[in-house]
Amino acid sequence: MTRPELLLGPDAAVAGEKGLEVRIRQPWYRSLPLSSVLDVAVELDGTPVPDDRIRLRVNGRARRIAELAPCWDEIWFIQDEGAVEIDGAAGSPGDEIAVAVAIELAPTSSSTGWGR
Amino acid sequence: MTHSIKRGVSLYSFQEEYFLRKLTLEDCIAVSVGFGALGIETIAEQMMPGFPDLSDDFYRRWDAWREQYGFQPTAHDMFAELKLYPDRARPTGELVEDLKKDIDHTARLGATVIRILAATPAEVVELAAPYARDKGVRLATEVHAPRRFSSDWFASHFEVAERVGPDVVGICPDLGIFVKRLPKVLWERSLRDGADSDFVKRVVDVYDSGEDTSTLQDEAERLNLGPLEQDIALQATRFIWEEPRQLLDYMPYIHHVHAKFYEIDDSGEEYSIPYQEIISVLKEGGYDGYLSSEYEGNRHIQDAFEVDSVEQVRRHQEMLTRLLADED
Repeated sequence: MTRPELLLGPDAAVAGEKGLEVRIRQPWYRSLPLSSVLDVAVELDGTPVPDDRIRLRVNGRARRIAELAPCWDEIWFIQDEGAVEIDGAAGSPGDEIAVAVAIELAPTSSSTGWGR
Repeated sequence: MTHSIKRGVSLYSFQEEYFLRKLTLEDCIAVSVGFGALGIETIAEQMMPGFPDLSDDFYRRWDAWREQYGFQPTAHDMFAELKLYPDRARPTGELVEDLKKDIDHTARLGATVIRILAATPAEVVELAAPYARDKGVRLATEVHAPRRFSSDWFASHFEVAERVGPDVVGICPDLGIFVKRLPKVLWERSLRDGADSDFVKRVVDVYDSGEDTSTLQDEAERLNLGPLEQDIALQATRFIWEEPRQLLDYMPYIHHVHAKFYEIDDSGEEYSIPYQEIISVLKEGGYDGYLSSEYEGNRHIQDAFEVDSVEQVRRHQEMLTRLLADED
């Protein structure tokens, strides 16, 4: 279990190929299958971004949130950085954007879930 | 009293530094051995990327570290992936097959114990036990707060241990079941977050005097307090105090001990867990396995302080050394 500041550093938001990209870590003490990521929610300047504009990229492959559930055989290693790709949210160099990312995990070994 | 209790470290203790890439697996081993803790417990899914399909190269590197640092691999911590499939429960047969992979891995590491996660169905342990026996690996179900020795959960696991025999199946008490005083790091964090200090004091008083903590959340509600007070009230229910002498009823079954700690302060003592009392019981019972340091204070202090798990483990090992040498 790790503090939010460790998941999302001050330089986490960068301009990606298709828009904005937010670098993110998996907030647990061991690696988990991708299926344990229940949700990724993004707000830009306080406005929620719809799911169809968000993809989570882990191990070099980007997926919609709904595509994560069946990925129980792919592991997100705890030292590896992932990225949340936000389509169409391009900015110009020097722009300031308030970015909030919430990730909801349910470790696959526990009998109860775990919140964001 | 003479005894054969040995000191070790669970690399779980270094989760913060590992997450931040400040320490590697090899660093964690070297640091522990440097404190004279020669028993190394590992979590493959934390520090061995690729598990359960680790390469021969990895295991050769592991063997070379064993040679170089002279440590003894103690336990491998397994996780039962009960909720792997979002739409259906995990079949028992698959959990047993997973556990067999854990057994193979443990044997290959040269360790002799698997920490069985408490949520693992007892049936899975029983079905994998013959395979574990063949491989010389013991399966030790973790007795972890808030689960108690008097629970149905414990009865079902202990029944399996009795049926299979303590040479293969047993328990791994986590010393977090002996929290006599609510950890200071826990309620100090609550105060830092801005929780009502009178209510925090009330929670601590109720816990430390051994009273029932289950009504504290209702109490917070009656007082119209907010989420911070609800949270400390809830957290207090997750800690328990068991009488350490209960360990004497299970000695042949205790294969490993998670020496949980939240904070070793400047006085060199664990504020919340009475180690002297517990170690004295383990000596009396003739425990001859490892006390595996398991630091879990980072999550409670990382909002305000730099986490130094290495220093915490050093202090913990120093305390264990002193208490193990005591003639009591």
